[in-house]
Amino acid sequence: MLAALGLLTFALVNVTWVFFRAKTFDKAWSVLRGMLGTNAASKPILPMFGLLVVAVIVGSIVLTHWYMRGRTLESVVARAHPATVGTVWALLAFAIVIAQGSGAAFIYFQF
Amino acid sequence: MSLDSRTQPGGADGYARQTAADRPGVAQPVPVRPLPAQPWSRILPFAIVLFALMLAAWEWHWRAFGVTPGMRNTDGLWAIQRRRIDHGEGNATVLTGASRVYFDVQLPVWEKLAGERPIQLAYEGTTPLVYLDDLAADANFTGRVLIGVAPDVFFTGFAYRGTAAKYAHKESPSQRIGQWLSMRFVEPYFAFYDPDYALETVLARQPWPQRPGRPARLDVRKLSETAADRNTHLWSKVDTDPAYRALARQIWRQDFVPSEDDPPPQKLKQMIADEIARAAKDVAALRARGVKVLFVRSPSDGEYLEFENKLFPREQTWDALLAATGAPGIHFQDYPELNRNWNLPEWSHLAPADAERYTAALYTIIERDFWPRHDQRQAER
Repeated sequence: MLAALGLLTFALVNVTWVFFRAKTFDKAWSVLRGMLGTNAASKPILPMFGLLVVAVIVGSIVLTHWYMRGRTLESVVARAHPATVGTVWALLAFAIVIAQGSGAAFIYFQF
Repeated sequence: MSLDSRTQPGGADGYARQTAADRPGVAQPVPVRPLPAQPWSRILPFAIVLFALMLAAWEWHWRAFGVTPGMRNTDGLWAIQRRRIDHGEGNATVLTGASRVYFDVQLPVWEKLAGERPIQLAYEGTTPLVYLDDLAADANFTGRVLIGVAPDVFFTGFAYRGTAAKYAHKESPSQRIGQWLSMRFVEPYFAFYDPDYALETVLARQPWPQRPGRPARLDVRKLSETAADRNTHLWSKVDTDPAYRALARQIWRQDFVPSEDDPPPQKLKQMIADEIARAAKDVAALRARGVKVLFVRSPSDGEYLEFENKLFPREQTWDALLAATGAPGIHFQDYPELNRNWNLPEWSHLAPADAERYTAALYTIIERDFWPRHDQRQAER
């Protein structure tokens, strides 16, 4: 029941996002129609890689929240092996550097 | 144990923080963040060393691939050159165009022959008209402008890097400082710091399974090397590494086969007419201020030239452009010294050594037939 309500909330938030981001109502309806699979002869726009990235990121966010629901970050770090903490730390720094970044596109500047 | 009792202060978790709700009626406690019990003095050096090793391996990987550190080809780098016009060099020679002017014209060769180093404002995959609009509107600019014409880019108004003028005029102090710091402390030392090797770009070009209905398209790879004043040449790997050269050709070839995204012939005709009209407007504005304008069609070869001849026949594009603008132009096919058996590894750009020879040949024609060295403009000064 809880999971079903959670999914319903998630689906409804996805609908409201369309109006939040669409430039015109016409475009919003078009996206909503697409989300319901009723756009005739639609062509896929996003490449497979884009879908994979979103799936991995969103999946990781959900799993992390699930795992951390009854824990604090401090307790998780305290229980981890010191080598694990150091490795994760180094990996994060490495990922930040090799991602290179491209401008600081803060989403709320885009409205 | 309930969820709540674990996260409460003093609960099994041991690290939960107190909030105002924990102490009703009492002011919010100063938050004290507990430090997890770990041997931090050993973890920190371990993490730093591991990070340095990973970064060294990444850098080594790209250097082994043939990459050398160089300047990032950014709007910030473009802005530095653009500012020269407004800071005392309004009389300068400016180069505009797409990648052919950018990679093929070598500034040191030009400088040696002309006695002045031109300002390089060409940008790959981008119609020069974006930046000609900007120069036409700048009363400070009274010099000479060379306008490169790469047919598929110029006559469609394609602008892959079309934001630089706006960036240059709106560049914030922090962006300017960031550019300065990056050019001095990062870019000269790290080969991996090139957009083609950014993590996301590298991951995106892996052979992922294809999505039905959306065939994978290869993005253009690193083709050039750029210096601090935007002097740029084709990356030697394109010339010397057969696999990489084949890849570069394969990427261009994607555009040579008809696709359903291509504009229909009538639309393409209109696009060509629109771009010529736009060029004529800019050229008129520039010439009204005494700016000398010269169009240049740089060499192309092989399948690329075939594609250009098919979709952008000379009489409908180049000849029409010169007629509409009334400006002079140099088409490489009209001059034997420019129409040589150049080495164009991927059909579109000259290999570094030939770019130097080409620049010398081009400049010699320009000085002889179009922009005499001691022209009237200079005599009037």
